[in-house]
Amino acid sequence: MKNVQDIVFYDIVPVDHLLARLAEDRDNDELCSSMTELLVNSYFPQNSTDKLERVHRCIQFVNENSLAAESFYRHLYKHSSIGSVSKLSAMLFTVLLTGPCSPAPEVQVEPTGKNAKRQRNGGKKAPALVTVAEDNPGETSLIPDVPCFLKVLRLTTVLVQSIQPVLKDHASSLNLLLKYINVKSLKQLLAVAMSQPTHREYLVAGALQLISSTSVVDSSIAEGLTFDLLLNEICLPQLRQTEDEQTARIVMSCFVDAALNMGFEVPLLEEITHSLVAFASNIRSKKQQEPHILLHAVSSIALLLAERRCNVIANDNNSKVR
Amino acid sequence: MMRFEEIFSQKEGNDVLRGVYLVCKEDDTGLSKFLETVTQSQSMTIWNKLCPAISDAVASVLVENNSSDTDELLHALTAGAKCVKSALALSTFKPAQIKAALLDLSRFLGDFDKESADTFAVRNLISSVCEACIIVSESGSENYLPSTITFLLRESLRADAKDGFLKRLLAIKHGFEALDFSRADQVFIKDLLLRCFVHPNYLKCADARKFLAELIAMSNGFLCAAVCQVIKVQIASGSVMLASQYGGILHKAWKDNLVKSPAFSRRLQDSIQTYVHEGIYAENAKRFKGLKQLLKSFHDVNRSDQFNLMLVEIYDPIIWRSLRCANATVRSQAAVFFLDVFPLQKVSPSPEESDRLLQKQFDMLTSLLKDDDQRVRAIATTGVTHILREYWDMLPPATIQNLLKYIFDTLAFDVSSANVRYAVVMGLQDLLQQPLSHKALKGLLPIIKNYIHDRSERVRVAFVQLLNMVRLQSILLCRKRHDIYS
Repeated sequence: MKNVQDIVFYDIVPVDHLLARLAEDRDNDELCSSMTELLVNSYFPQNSTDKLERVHRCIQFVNENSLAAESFYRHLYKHSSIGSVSKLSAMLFTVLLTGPCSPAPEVQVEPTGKNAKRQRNGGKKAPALVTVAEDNPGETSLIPDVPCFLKVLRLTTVLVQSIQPVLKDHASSLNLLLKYINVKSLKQLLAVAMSQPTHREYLVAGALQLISSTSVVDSSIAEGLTFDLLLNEICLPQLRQTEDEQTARIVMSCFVDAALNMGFEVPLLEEITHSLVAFASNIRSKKQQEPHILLHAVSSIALLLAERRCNVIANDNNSKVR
Repeated sequence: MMRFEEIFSQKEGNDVLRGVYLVCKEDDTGLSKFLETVTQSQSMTIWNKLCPAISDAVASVLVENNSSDTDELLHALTAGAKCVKSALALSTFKPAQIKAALLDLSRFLGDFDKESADTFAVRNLISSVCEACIIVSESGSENYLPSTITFLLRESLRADAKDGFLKRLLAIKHGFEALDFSRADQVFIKDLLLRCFVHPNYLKCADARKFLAELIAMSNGFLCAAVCQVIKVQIASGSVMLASQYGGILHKAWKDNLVKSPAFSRRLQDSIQTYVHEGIYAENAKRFKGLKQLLKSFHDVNRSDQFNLMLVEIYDPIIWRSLRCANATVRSQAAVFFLDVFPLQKVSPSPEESDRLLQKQFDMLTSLLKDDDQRVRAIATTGVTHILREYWDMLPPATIQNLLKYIFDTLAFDVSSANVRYAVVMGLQDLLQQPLSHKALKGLLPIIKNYIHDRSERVRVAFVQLLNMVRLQSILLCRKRHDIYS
């Protein structure tokens, strides 16, 4: 035993290099999987006494290198139990509901307070996870700012997506996940996203992605979050406000993706193009704003529909727009 | 009982057999009960009647072609076999006629011209009676041994053969010693025996492989040359499984006969040397792989002094020259064999001589690492790290230091070939299994930290796996320390 020396891997390669490589090689499954195995104890400690240890490390990791964090958490389920991954996603989601820490005061206080109240009222069911804000009375949230919020949101989606195919075989994990990520809480998340002063479109798009991937495992989400609600109250207001074509495209494509995953019928999608056309012509008549953004949005929907083999409708809509 | 009394009181042996067949068709327990009750003199009369009848039936069935008569004769044979079986089972009195009758019956076993489902059933019955006699070494059993063995061999070598025949053959394998292969009529068995070395049923079963190993050495190794030829052809398929099975068989044959028959072991050793030679100069990758796998059975065993001596005798005349051959493929194949067989040792009266042999091998390791061809360098790297892992505490520290220094300083930065760099990482993964090496590796591993950004994806993946192994090793070490101190 005396002659045997302990070698540690971070003495061989600095962790910065590992993370940089993890981010660079994020498309290489084999490498990412091995790398995740290597780092799993550092960022996802197995026997920690602190309940929030994993969440803290996750937020720290995502701030350090978000791309590396994404590929790490995408492969985490291979080296950990499905149950613990779904627990982490639920915890991250709960943290998200409290919103970021220091946005402009007028928008921040109201929704967070509301959420906190709601949580306290309905807190009988899920006390362990939702008491994040109460545990830290000095701070309102674990997430320091809006960009970080966006990253954590993205990460939660990645986590849900990674375990989504196997969740059906793990009933208890599925129940745990759906206990925290349900229609009511998703609405809250949308409210938090809408209330942010900056990056609002991206936040909404991120929330839509999360809704999209959650709705695959739970069909009741499609019933609670109706098509009209998503379109008229979430997407169109963003489109109205945005001036950037790329952003509009991202929002709409996330929306269409979510709509298709939630099983909304194709005719409904046809309807949105109609309503978008009407919306565009309305603006055009008032001459308030160039409708090119909307036109791009519509054509991107057409593109997505085409990808999903709805060629006929897509062509039809395209011609109407032009 | 009464019916058997009537049947056996008939005058003609043929009638008796017919009667026995008809009754036994429904229930054959009565026959042995009846035979138990007969007195010695009665028994003599019965067998005096039966023997000529059985003999006639066998003689006519061997020449007969008419189908209606054949059925009749087959029934007679079945009845005869049943009578013999029941009579032999009795411990009381066994007249010499029974054995004569069995010998007659056994003649039918060797007749393969009229193979059909009906004749098979009769043959199977006769064979089982013969086997029972051979197992207990009944006197005179050597007379029908060849025909029984032929029958079982043929049946067990069918494409759709069941394991049952193989097991029955293995049960009477001691009988093979009594066979005389120089006789003309038993040469036929040799072909059957060679086919055993190819049949999957034989190679699958561990007992049968032992039997095959005994077969090679049998009758002073008259099969040896032919078997080695058969194996050579079979190995060309490149199947790893097959090659290691053959390797096991040859190794066992060599080991078991080392004391018993040194001349045979010598011959086998020559055949193995041919394999080594062919492996080194193999043009075909599959053949090389097969031979390498076969010889692995000789390399990876606990080595006695005699075994070491044999390895030196096999390798010493050929390996050194082929390791310096101009052709890189030959060099790489020779390197594989050399690194596999390392260390070549022999007990010699002067320690200088064995030291010289070892030093020659250490020098060769270094020169292989410095080879011009990248394939040889890659093979040498993997091999040398494996040797370091296996013999860390036995190698001189200076040699270890030199080898590791060359690997980390030069080979690890081999820009010309990712293969070599990959071999370095894989070799280090291997070496990490040796806990004594950790002290040296701790300082050396950071030298290759930039492998994480290597151009080759294969190297990057292997390097991350290496890091993972490092992590697991340190966890294990922690646990061990914890166990010791608590």
